[in-house]
Amino acid sequence: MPEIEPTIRQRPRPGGFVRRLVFVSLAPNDPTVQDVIQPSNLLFGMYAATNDARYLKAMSSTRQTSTTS
Amino acid sequence: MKNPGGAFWHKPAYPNQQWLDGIYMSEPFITRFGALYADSQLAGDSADCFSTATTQIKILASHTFDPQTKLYFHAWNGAADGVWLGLGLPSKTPVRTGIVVSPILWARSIAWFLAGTVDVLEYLPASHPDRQALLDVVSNIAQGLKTYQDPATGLWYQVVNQMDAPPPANGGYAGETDKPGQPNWLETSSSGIFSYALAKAVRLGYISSDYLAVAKKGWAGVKSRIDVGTDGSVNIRGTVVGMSVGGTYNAYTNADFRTDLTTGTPPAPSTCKTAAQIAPGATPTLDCRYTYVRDNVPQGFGAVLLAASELEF
Repeated sequence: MPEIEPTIRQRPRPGGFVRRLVFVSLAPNDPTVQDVIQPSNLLFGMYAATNDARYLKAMSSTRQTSTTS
Repeated sequence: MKNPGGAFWHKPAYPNQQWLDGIYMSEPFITRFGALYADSQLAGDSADCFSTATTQIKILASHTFDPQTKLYFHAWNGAADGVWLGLGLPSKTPVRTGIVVSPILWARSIAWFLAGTVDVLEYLPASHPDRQALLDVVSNIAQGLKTYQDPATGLWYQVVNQMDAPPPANGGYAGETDKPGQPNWLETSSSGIFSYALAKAVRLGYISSDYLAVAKKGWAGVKSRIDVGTDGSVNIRGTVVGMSVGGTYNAYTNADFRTDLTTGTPPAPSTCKTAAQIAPGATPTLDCRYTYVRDNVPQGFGAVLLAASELEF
């Protein structure tokens, strides 16, 4: 399975649609990797570029707290 | 989860431990989210985003600061029983029970801490009461980096303050007599992240413009380790792969150097023990190197991209 798989999204723009290449990581979370750049910047960029509410929801979800024992 | 001191755990696998590396993983995100979207999703949440980020940085700084070097140790442990859990792999040398602060000034962890703090400051309101505390972190690290930058290459060493000084007589735990300290070496990814963060801190007015020369020299050193082939392929040499907190000097310096990305299982040579085979409280024999330095490690690419974003465009 490739680590990065390109997909195409359509975004309406004045004057027509613009094809955008979006990269979605399919890599599993590797617990042996200790310090990595988390892809949070990607969420901001994706939301700004697409206005897709799913990206805002993904960011908002990080603000939810869960009960732990 | 938070430890008794209010610090976020680095990961569930490392309960009660706060690592420098972790600051880049969440605090810039939460600050930027606070500045851009939080209040629109939940009234009043922006202020909580800001205080969450700055509080974590302040807690970490207060525990790990080394006034002698102006730098910060890799991690601290808030566990009530003093045990550093989860550190069996890959270093095999956890910090000994009861020692609160890890003993080594590891370059990339400091680099993530500096970059994370600079990125938080970028979105933190100018009037925020914790702003000066974060500026102090940036100023401290900048001073330390200027002191310990390799004058010949502009790069920084894996153990920052050690530079190319003779290694310590004992690189293992206190009392071990068969673990002479191993030579230190220059590390690419940390040097790239340092260059990025220093240049950005200068651009945004957090530190003196004098540090731009430090950043440029560091970036020149990093570029000396980038090879671009005639086919356009890029090779970035000399980055240490992901590491855990270690309790000894050799946990950071006793490295296996190769150009490919293999780490070996078990580590080379094949006679080396696995984590489960090493007696608790003992360090690996010197011919078993559990720290890997490779070409084209992801952290190296990330560092180059960060530095290039500030120093090339």
